[in-house]
Amino acid sequence: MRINPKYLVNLGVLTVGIALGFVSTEFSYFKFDNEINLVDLLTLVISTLVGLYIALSVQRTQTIQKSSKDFLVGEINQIKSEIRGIYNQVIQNQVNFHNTKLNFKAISVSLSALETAFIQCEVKDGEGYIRDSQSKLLLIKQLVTNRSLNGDMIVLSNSDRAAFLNKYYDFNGALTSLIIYVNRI
Amino acid sequence: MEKIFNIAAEFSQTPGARYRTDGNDSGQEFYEDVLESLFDSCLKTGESLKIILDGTDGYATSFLDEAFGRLAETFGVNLVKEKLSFVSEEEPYLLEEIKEYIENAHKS
Repeated sequence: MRINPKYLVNLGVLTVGIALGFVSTEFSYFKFDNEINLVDLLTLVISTLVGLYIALSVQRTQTIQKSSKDFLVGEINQIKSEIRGIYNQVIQNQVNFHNTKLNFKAISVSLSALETAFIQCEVKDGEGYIRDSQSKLLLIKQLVTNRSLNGDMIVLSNSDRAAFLNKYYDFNGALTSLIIYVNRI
Repeated sequence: MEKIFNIAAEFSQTPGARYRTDGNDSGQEFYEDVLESLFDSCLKTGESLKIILDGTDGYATSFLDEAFGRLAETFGVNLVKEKLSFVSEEEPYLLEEIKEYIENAHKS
């Protein structure tokens, strides 16, 4: 027989209510002063305010950190999607020279913007990761855009495509490491 | 004294591949029709040459290597590094890339 979860919640609330009622009756054993100790009151107020301040500032810092991380990860994913566009063209052996050149520029500009964002977000060691990604990207660019053309299409041999795949996975892996690094900060 | 040449404004917004046979605005065309004589005239007048790379739709490796690598082969790596400078606000990494082609020119 299945019990409706709503009844369990009601039962829980009832149990907690009974427990609270029992505890409150125990207060008759305590004595309450009719006078207020100003020092104690002041300490209580200050402690409460300090507690609230710490809680709010920690929450604010965490919110800023999370939004910074979300922004950086979004930028990295955008780069992943751009290099994926080149990957698809290479796989289909339909590498348009001008489009590919534009894609490489877009990725390079994005990496540069990401480096600036890392500096602004005060991400330590971020530059090292970016430079690693940039050097891996350059290897791909040199492989793809240093070939002869057939009309507006880049001519890639089978070995070029195989080499591209290795370099693509290297670059993609570097971007993934970057995402993991950003999320660990 | 410095002469400034803006590739996008004075040569092409869509630089091509390596050779003229690859299509318009190739590295070969840029080198033979523009860069070689421009650099030579700068040497004669004692000026340095600043190339602005921004404003194009990007550069193929073959274009950069043909233009600047060949310049270094003709005039020497040290002279080119001394007299030639670049501006690339959009793609700062291009500077390192071109430097590589200039420095590797003597090996080819």
